[in-house]
Amino acid sequence: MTLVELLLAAVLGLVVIGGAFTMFAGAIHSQPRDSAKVAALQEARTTADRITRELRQGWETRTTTSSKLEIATYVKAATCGGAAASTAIPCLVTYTCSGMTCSRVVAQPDGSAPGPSVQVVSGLTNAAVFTYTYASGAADPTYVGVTFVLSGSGQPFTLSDGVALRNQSEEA
Amino acid sequence: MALLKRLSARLASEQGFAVPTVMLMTIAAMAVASVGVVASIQGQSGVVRDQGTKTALEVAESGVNQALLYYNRGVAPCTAKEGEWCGPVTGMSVNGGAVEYWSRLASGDECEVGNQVDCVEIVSQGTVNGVTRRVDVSSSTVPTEESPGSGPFASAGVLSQESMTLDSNAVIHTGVATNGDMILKSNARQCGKASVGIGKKLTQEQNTGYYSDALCKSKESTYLQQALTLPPVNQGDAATNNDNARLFSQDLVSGNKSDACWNGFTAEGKASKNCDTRELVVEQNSSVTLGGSVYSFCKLKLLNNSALYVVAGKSVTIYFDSPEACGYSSGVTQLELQSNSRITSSSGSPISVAMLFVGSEALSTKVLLNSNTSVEESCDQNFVVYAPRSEVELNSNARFCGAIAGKSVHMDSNAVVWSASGSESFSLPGVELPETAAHYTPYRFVECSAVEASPPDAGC
Repeated sequence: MTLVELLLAAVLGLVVIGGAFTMFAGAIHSQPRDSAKVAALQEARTTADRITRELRQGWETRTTTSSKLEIATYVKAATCGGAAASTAIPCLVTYTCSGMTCSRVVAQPDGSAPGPSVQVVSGLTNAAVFTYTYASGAADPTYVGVTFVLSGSGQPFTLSDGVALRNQSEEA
Repeated sequence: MALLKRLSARLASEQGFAVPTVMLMTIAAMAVASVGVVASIQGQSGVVRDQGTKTALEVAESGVNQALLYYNRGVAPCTAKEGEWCGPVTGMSVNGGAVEYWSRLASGDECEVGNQVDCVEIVSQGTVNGVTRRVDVSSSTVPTEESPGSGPFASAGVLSQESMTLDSNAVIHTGVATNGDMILKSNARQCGKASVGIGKKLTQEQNTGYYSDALCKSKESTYLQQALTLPPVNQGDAATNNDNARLFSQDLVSGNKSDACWNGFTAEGKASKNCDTRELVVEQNSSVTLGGSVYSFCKLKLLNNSALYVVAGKSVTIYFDSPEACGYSSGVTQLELQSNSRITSSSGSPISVAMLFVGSEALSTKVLLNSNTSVEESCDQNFVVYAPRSEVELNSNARFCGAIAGKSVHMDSNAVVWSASGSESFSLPGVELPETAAHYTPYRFVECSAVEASPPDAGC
C-alpha cells in the first residue's frame, strides 16, 4: 500500500465514521424530545379514551362549547367526585380547556357538590377541543368530537376521536 | 512454528481489513436506525391498542343487539328464572371477533325506570386480537315519547300485510309499514319513514323518491325491517245489530232517488237489480247522508259524481261482511269509488269514519278507489280503511286522507294518500290485539371492566 492509498483510505474512513457519528448524535439529541412527545401523546390518548367513554355512556350534554363540555354520564365511583369504584353511578362531568391544558371536574347530576378539578391533559396548542354534530332537527348534539392538537418542539401533532351518545334518549 | 509464521503473516497483511470495517459500520448504522424503529413501534403499539379497543367494543355492542333482537322477537336467547342470569350465549362473530353475552329479565322496581315495565339487562363481551371489552346495557318496555301506542296505525298511516307497490307518480305522505317488500316505481314517492318485513326490502326504481318527512323534503335512505301482523276484523253482532234500517228512511237521499239503491230497492221503493242484499249503490250526482253509528254492508259502490255524506260530528263504523256471508265469489270488490265520487262530512265539521272489512282467508276481496275519487278532501278528519284480508288499490288521481290497511296496497297513476290527525289513535273495535313480544328499548349503557367477572354485571 502506498502512502497515497493510505491517506485516501483514512479520509474516506473519517467521512464514513463522521457521518455515522452525526446521525447517532442527532438521535441521542432528539431522544428526550421524542420521549416527551410520546408521554404527551400517551396522556392525551388516555384522556381522549376517558372522554369518549364518558360520552358513550352519557345521556345529555349541557354546556357545549369548543373549549368546555358538560355531560351527564355514568362514572365508576362511590360518589360523584369521590373515590373510584367498580360500579357506575350517574354524575355530571365537566371538561374545561384553557391555554395549554384541560381539566376535569365531577359533580352530582344536578351540578352540585363538585369534586376537585384535575388536570387531564397538557401541552395543547389550542383550547378548542370539542366539536358537535347534530341530527336533523335535534336540539342536542348526538355526536361529540374530541381533537387534541399537541405542541412538540417540532411540528404539532393531532389526536382525534369522537363518539355518539348511547344513552341520549333517556330522560336526564 | 509454521503455524505461528502463517498467523503473523496474516495479521501483518492488509487482507481481511475490509470485512471487520464493513461489519462495524453496518452495526453502527443499525444502532442508529433501531432508535427510530423502536420509537415508531412504541407509537404504533398505541394505535394498534386503540384500534383493538374500538373493535372489541363494537363487537361487544353487536352481542347486545343480537340478544335484544331475540327478546324483541319474543324469544329468549337462553332460559333462566326471572332475576337470574343466563348465559354465556356465543353470539355471531363480527369483524373476526368473538362475542358472548349474558342476560337476565326483571320487572317493576328492579328496572329502576318505573313499576309498570319489564326490563332486560344484557352484558356482552367482545374479544378481538386479544383485546377484550365488556358492556352492560339495560333495556325496558317503558314507553318513550317516540314509542308508538297500541292501535294498528300508531306508527304508520298505510299498512299492508303482504306487499306495497307505488307506481306512476303515486305519493304517500305518511309513514308506511308492510310485512313484505315495498316497491317504488315510475316517479312514485314515499314521504314518511318506511318499514318492511324481516328480510324484505324497499326497492326504488325509475326516478322514485323516499323521504323521511310527510312534505317530501328530507331524502331518506334507511328503513326498518320488522314484523307486522294485522289482526282480522271482529264484527261481533254488527251483521244483525246495526243501523241499516235507517237507510232511505232516516238516512236520506239527495238528488235523483232512482239513482240510490239499497238492499235491492231504490230510494223510491222500487225493486232494482243495481244492488243486492246489504249493498248500497249511489250514482249520477246523487248522495246519501249517514246519521247512524254502525252499519253492516256487503258492498258500497259510489259512481259518477255521487257522494256518501256523514252527519257532522258523527262517528260511523261500517263493517263489510265476509264474502262467504254475502254470497260472493272470489275477487269481489266490496268498496268501489269511481269517477269523482267521494265520502265526506256533510258540513265540513270533524267526523270519524271507519270502514272495516272482515274479508276471507279463502276468497279474495278488493277495495278500489279510482278516477278522481276522494275520501275527505280537506284532510282534517279521521278516515280509516282497515282491510287486512283485502287487496287495496288506489288509482287514477284518487285522493285519500286517513289511514289504510290492506292485505296488499297498490297505488297507481297520481294516487295520493295523506295522513289524518287522529288515525294514529284508532283502535280496532272488538279485537283483542294478539299477544305480541314486548319491545325493549335501551335506557342505560355502561362499559364494564375488561375482565370477565361473576356475576356478569360485576365491574359495570
